[in-house]
Amino acid sequence: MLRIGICDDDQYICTEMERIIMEYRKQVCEELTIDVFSSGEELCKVLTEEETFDLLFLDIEMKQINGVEVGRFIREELHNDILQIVYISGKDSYYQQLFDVRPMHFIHKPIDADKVKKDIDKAIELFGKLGNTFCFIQNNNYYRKPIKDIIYFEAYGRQVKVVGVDEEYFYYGRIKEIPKKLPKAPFLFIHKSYFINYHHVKRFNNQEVTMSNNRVLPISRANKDEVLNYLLESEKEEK
Amino acid sequence: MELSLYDAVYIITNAFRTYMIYKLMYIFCEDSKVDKRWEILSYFAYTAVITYFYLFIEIPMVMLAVNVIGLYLVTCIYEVGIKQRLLSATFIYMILLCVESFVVLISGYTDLPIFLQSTYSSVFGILLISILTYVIVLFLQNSKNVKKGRDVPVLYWISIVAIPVITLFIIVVLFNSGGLSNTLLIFSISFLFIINIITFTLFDSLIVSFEYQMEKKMLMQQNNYYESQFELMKRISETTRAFRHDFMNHLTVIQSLIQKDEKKTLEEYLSELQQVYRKQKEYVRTGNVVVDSILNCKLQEAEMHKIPVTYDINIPDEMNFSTFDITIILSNLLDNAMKASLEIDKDMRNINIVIRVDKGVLRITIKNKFNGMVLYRDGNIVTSKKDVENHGIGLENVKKVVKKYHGTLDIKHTEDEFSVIALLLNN
Repeated sequence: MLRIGICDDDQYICTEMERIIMEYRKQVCEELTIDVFSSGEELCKVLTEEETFDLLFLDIEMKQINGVEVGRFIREELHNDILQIVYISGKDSYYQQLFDVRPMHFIHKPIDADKVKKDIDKAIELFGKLGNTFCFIQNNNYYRKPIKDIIYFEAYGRQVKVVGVDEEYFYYGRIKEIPKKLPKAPFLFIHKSYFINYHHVKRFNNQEVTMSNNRVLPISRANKDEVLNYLLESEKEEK
Repeated sequence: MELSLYDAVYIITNAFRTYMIYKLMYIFCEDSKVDKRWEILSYFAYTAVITYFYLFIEIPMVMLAVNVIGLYLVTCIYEVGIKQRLLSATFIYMILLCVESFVVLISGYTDLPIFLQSTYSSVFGILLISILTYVIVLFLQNSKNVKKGRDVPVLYWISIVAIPVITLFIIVVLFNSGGLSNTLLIFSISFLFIINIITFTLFDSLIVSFEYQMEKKMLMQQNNYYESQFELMKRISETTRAFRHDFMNHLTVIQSLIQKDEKKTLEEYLSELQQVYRKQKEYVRTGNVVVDSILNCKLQEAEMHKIPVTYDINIPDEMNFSTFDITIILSNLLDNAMKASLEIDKDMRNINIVIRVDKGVLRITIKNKFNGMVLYRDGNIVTSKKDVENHGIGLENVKKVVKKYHGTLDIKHTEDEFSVIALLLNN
């Protein structure tokens, strides 16, 4: 199931988006749910109180709370780094601040239905990959964490540190064994001691990455090529 | 102690040998920064120590140890990793040792007690050693140059190799002729060596001048891009002016129609206007002036040549990549895509451009249909057209920029589609 939110203060755009998604719902195997909001306040309220979404089509230019502020609220206040945001914009240029929110895509008004469909496909694929769980035993307790909530793994002596969005866990094991347990998961080694979730990366630099929890981790010289290859592969998957 | 002919020649060749080591060292540690004064000083120290040991100790095993340790110490002035240091020290010594043993053996000196004082003293032998080392260095250096993409014409290269070979011949003749005094021999040999060193230096500057020429070509190419961008901006401003002029005219017509109360004609006129403006081509507007102007310039060119282009651009208005570098990448890649498109049927043509910034990484993907003909050289795609020289420079420029931003360039093709992905990272 993919939970889609639409937020625009322009009634016409909301209806149009809803129509496109409803029509596309017949063509995809995945179940799609749609919720429509007509203002940033309304959306923020729902996001704080209740369930969240997987994919959000968010208008940039809204009265009162605009799209940038909503995006920042989601990332910084709610610490939700996995919700995929697609900005809808009537303007021509995108400000740098928009990119701090790490949007998945930008869609121009008037809306191109094909682009909306593509973004839905992309989100379905992404949440398919992130839908698995990772299991480990800490102090005789069995844990099952959704991999979308794991930011990275770190080798910690004879243990592995699991850094999640909420807290950190330790279990006895080798970091090298994790890829076998998580085939096809969007993880990569940036260093022999760090196995990171690509979708929790804020920023890649030449020698380091900044994760969604603002931890900066080093890219080792030996793993530089692996990182670049991962980026290339991720780019090839873009259609 | 009086210097024998052998010792004198030894000192000269040893200096030359150090120069060879310096050259070899550069092949290994080229990219590292180094303090020139320290460099010169350490090479001098190395030469002095080696000469001392050679002349006064003369035990091969000791020489080997001193050489290896000395070489390793010399590598310490370069800012490279320990692996690289050990590799260069051993590899350089291996080259030197191979040449030396080879010469010693072919000059018929097989009984070499390595822990006792060596009595090997063939002037011809040590000269041969130097010359052979020189040839090897030349080979290595040239292959290094080829690897870096600066091709030196074969003719130059042959002449540069011919010089040590001819020197060798002359030395053999000098030794065989007899009747020459030792002083004369030393002078002739020294001069020959000077000639060799001069040629070597000339060869180096030749490479530099080749690089310079290449750079000049690249600059010319960049100038052309700027010129065409300027052309485009001029055209855009002209269009705007024309549009404004038209706009005034249309307003006048509409006003007069309203005054005459001709609603029907007015409606027709307006719908006609709408159609006209809808037809006008969309320009790329991302707010990023550089990307916009290059893309618009190329889009217009593509339209002129009837090449359909689709694009999806998601980038911020300001980026940490220099205007110049972005221009190089986009212009070159788009030019290549366009040229390849022109070689196929009109209805086959298609170019797809995706430019986006995600997780701080600028990702440029350009795909185009092409005729499936690709020319490879040394595993690199060179070109698919006749204009080999310029095309190569284009991609070479793109590679340079990508390297500057610690990124990567991926070039792939299927039977009919060519795709290039460039990734650029910030520091």
